[in-house]
Amino acid sequence: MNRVIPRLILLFLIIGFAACTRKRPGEVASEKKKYSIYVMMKDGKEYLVQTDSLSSGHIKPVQEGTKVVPARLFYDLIAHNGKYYRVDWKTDSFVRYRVENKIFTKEAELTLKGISAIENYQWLSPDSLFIVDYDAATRKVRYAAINVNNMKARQGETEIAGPSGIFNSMSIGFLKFLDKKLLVGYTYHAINNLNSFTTSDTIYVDVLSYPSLKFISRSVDTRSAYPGGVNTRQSHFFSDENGDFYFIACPGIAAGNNPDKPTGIFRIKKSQTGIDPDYFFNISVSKIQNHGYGFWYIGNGKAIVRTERKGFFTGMNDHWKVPHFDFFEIDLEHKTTSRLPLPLDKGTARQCVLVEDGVVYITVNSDSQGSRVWLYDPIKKSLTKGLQFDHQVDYLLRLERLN
Amino acid sequence: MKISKELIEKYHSGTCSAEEAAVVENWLFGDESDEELLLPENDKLEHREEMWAEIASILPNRGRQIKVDKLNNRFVWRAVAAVFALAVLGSCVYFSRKPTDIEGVIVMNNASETNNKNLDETEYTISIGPKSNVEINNQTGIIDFCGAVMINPKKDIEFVIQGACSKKEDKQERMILKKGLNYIALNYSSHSNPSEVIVVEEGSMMGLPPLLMKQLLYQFNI
Repeated sequence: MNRVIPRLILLFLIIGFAACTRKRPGEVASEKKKYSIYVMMKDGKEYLVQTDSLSSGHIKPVQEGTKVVPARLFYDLIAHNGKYYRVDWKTDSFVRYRVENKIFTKEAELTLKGISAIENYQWLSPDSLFIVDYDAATRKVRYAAINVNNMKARQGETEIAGPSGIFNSMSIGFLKFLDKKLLVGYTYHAINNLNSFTTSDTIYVDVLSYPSLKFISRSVDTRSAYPGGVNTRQSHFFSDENGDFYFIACPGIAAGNNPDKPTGIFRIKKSQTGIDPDYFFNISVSKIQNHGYGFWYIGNGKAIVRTERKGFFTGMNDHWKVPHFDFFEIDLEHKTTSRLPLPLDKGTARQCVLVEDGVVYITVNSDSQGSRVWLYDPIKKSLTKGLQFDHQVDYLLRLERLN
Repeated sequence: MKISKELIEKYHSGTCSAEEAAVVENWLFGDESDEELLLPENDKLEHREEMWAEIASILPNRGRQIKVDKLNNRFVWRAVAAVFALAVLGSCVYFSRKPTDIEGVIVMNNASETNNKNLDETEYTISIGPKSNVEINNQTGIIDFCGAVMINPKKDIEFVIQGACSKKEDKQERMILKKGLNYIALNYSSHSNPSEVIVVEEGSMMGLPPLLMKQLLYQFNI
């Protein structure tokens, strides 16, 4: 009898433990998928799809994906180590989400001061995210260095000069960390209600001390306008294998709206703090002959620039919905361009290029051929078809490495 | 020489001396003179009746002469004030409920520099941005606006949307607005197209310049 009772207890414990770990009907075990794709369907609904392969297969987001609630996150989403992050402008809070059993679930949030969007971000370490935003109320550029695990932040304002004179707003186009310094590229705007805005003819680069964010020096350049761009929206800058930093300036109507200036690529050499005055790659006068926006590094001195095609759209009313975008491979040193023979792409701004192990994954939204991932081999100069999406998908807005 | 009633009458009858005429003209056309017309203090009521009789004599309905002095002035003014207040209050209630609705035509103007103005109709709700106006003809399905508006249909509706800030160039877009979705329509001036009408479903705002998109998100609370 003395032995029976402990055995019964043990039996109940085992049964109980097994019951706890058993999956409920329809539940899918949390798996660490490699890639995250954010799609918008033709009915306007948005889904997050996670997958391990971009090379082949077919995805139906409504069946396989996670509906994004609240929707309209557009491009203000950062995917990182299995989690998603964004700033909710309605609550001025930084929010961490995860996808759990096909539900976009809020995990934690942190109240921010004077930051209602992410103008630019950089990961300082796998757990530490640095974000900046322009605070219209105080006319200051504010920052937050956030530990995304414990959701605590160091916040403050930088000494970047706010807009003055004819200008009433500004955009932060890039961040580049150097040893105990931070380079910030930015420009100013004059906003006329919702009707129009203009962008300054000048690109500014401030050197700030880090982590105190005090002003050290400023340089300017007028060869183009609107440096970089919101990097949750798409890529606009990178460092190459040598540590040289490149950024694109986008004065086209879909970004800076100062299109008399050319779209151009600038360089800041490794360990330098100012724009290289001897380097400028004028995209608009190259064979491309158009304005461009997104800019991705694919290795070995080559990059991809996504460019609009004038004559295919009439203005901002149809810029986003008409397929007119080309992908050009460009050689940064020799300033040559080569169009990738892809279908014309649509969607004004998309995070649509991902490079891994020498393979360039490019998502294309084509009205005639649907939405899919294409694989580009820059050595063989070959393009092959990869993952295909259901025809109800209108836009693949983001392609990111998740785990 | 003082200006008096007699002197003015004399001036109008043309019997003034040169000196008297100069004084009257100086008083009439001079900016700096602070001399007032002196009327007899003791017979104001008499003058008033006399003046009214003269005015009444040229009015068309001579049968209904009003004796102003016989009416209780305080009562009249209170009644007028009450009627006026009721009229103002009534218009406020009416206009806040439904702006101008003459045979299915709604006209709304939002003069605010910062705030939206909202309207809840049977088939849609509409939010008018600052310094914007809209005219909706529910019978023809034509929405004419200037500025920025957001429309949320309660059922699928076909509208012809035109942004006619400038009558020179009416731009029309016929489209079916789907139930439950938010549509933004705005007059936009880009560098290459100074008078553009943008109509986008809320989800497609990602295609607008980031600066413009941010403004719209904040303004329409999206």
